[in-house]
Amino acid sequence: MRVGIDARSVYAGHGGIGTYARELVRALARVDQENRYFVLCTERKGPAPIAAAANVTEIRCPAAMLDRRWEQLQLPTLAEDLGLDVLHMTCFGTPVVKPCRVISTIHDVVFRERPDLVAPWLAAYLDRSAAFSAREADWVITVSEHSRQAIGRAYRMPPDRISVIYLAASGGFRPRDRQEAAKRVKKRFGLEGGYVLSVGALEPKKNIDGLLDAFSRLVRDGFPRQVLVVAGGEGGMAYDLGRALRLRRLGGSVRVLGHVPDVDLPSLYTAAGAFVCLSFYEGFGLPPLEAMACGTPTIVSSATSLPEVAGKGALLVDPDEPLEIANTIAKLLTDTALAHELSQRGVERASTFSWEETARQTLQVYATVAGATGAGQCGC
Amino acid sequence: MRVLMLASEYPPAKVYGLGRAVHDLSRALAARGTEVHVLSNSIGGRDQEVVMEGVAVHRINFPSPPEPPDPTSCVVQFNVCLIERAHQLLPEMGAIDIVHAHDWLVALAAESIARRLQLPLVTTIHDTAIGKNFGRLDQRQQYVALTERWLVATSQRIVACSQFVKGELIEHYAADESRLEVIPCGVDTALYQTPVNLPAFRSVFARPQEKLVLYVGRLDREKGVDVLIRAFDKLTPREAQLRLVLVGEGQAKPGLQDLAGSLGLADVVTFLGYVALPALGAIYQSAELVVVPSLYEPFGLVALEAMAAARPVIASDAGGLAEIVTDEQTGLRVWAGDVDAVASAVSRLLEDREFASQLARRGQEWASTGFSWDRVAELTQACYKTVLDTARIEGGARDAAVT
Repeated sequence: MRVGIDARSVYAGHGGIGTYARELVRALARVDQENRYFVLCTERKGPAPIAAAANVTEIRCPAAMLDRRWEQLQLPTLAEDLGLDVLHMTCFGTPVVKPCRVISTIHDVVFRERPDLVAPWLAAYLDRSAAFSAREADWVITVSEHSRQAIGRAYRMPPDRISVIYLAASGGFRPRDRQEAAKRVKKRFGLEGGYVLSVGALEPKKNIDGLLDAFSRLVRDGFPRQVLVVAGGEGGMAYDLGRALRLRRLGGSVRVLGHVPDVDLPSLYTAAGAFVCLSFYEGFGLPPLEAMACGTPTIVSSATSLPEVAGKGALLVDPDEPLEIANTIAKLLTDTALAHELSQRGVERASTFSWEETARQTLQVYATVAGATGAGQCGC
Repeated sequence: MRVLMLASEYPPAKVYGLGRAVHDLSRALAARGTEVHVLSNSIGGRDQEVVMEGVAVHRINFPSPPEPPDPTSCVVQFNVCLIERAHQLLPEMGAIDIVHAHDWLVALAAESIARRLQLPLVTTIHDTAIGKNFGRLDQRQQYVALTERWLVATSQRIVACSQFVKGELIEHYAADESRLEVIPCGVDTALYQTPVNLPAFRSVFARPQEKLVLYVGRLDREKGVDVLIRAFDKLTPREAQLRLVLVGEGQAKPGLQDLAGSLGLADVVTFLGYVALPALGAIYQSAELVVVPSLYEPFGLVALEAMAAARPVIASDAGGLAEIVTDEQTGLRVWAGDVDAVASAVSRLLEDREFASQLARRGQEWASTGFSWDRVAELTQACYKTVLDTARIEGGARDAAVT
């Protein structure tokens, strides 16, 4: 089988979609030496290949991550020239002129269900791409049961034409020595361990306002020296973090790190006293899974896919209830027995996800779709 | 019968589109029982030896260092590489009966290989440097023209893709008419009729209510695209909700963009860049009509592709187009360079939908019956037979003279 994977997102930015494409390709290369993979990425020069394996060929494409013209006009020719059996579009879209069987990953439909949380241009782009895929793709993959139901509703798709394949935390995210991590974080960022941590793009969807409101209460109600660390670059919709901090007079107790390179993330998670993700909407929610994998006591919002991913590995809170959130954080910071137990539950929960498993299930979809003559069942 | 085909490009490599035609001919020949070996270039060095749809494809990896100082020596170096590879391949290929060259870029190699092996050389000429440049040649084009003239003189049989090119070869290169024949290019009509979700596809480059006027081809001076843009301006495209879609790249592109801008048409003229099959088939299907405004056109493949997709065609009367488009029957013909004629032909077809679809229907029939690749391969096989018979007679006569 000759498989093409659209990996233009890998060098495009720091979002979860790029992580998905990159880790999927790497894990496929680890679990499968039989099929031929063509990894379609952008023309940026420099980085080493995504996966160095004999059966993986990287093709540099003159296109950006969100280039619909290229996707619709040039990609079909490339797929034909490469003699692909299956093309996996990893970022919502599908070429309408199909050169081979096409599988598309629709990560979520936040732009349909909460358009107020996505920049209008991006919402329009993603909605059209997802609509193409719902109608034209031979199969759709999504990343949570919540997303599967939402996609079915949004595009009136029978949910049995959508496979749910979970993401995972990469191998670098595992329990580590906390003192060692604290030393690294001190050296790298000048931070003392035990902070409350948030990781994710700075956009309204992530509900940073809710986090800051809860954190203000925490500081006021008995934790005056507690530090909050906010890590993450700009997202798909503008969010003015500086203004939010000034309004709440929080400047002193909040450290804003901007985008943190992957290599620093495991220590950053490990040295935290608690990890908090209060998103209003996620398709999956990679950072809380990474935090759990590191053994950091984790709190997630009860919205959308987050309870499904966290399972019993994290505490759930209502993202609109600052008081409840503040109390939950306070409990984790003071109740060491609870923190310890939650840490273990988190590690246990995270260990049920692996990129190898993601790759194996995805490979099974490739094989089924490549072999299918009509609408088949994908068995996952 | 075993044929060694020489072509400067072969799919998936694409420079001038010649490779696609050579591939279509080769696989149609293979389907009719001729054993075809193609020797060609490789872009990116991929897949050096492959069998594609019954055709054995051998690719050299060129350009190879050292870098040549100018394009002409690059061509010479390329040909030397072809010759070298051909001689390496000979033991494994088995006895070749005919060498078949496509255009001047492989002339040196074709002549050398055929002479060394004492084999007949068949050459297909797809266009001529003199015609393409309207007789005004710079130094490099003079070299091309001389090479073409020499290739025509040295080949046992010359295939022109149209009566027009045949005429050019006689007039400009003093070709021997008895060794000339015309075999057209083919078109695989099925590739232009693939069903597709057109509203979704069109939305990538046009608004839903717009009618699309389409041009496909290189954006070079000889293609007359400026004539089409000026004609489009006369149609008051905004009121009529028209969009001109230009598919292709070329040296004239910046000038054409400037022209569209200076006429205030920047928002209704879309430059889509280079698009190939299979998306190209959907582009044809998205269009209301297709205009081929060429000032020079050796064959006119785009007119044939438009017909294959059942789109009405407006073509200039330049070169080979007259042999493809019959005025008022399979399309409309206009004088090359005539802005007003193009404009009125477009508005006529936009207004008279019934007539337009009649033209499209007849055009599709004409393209699929007269220009199938199987028919082209049949004519080519007959050409090979003529060449081999002639060689045998001449060889016999030579033997008789010796004894």
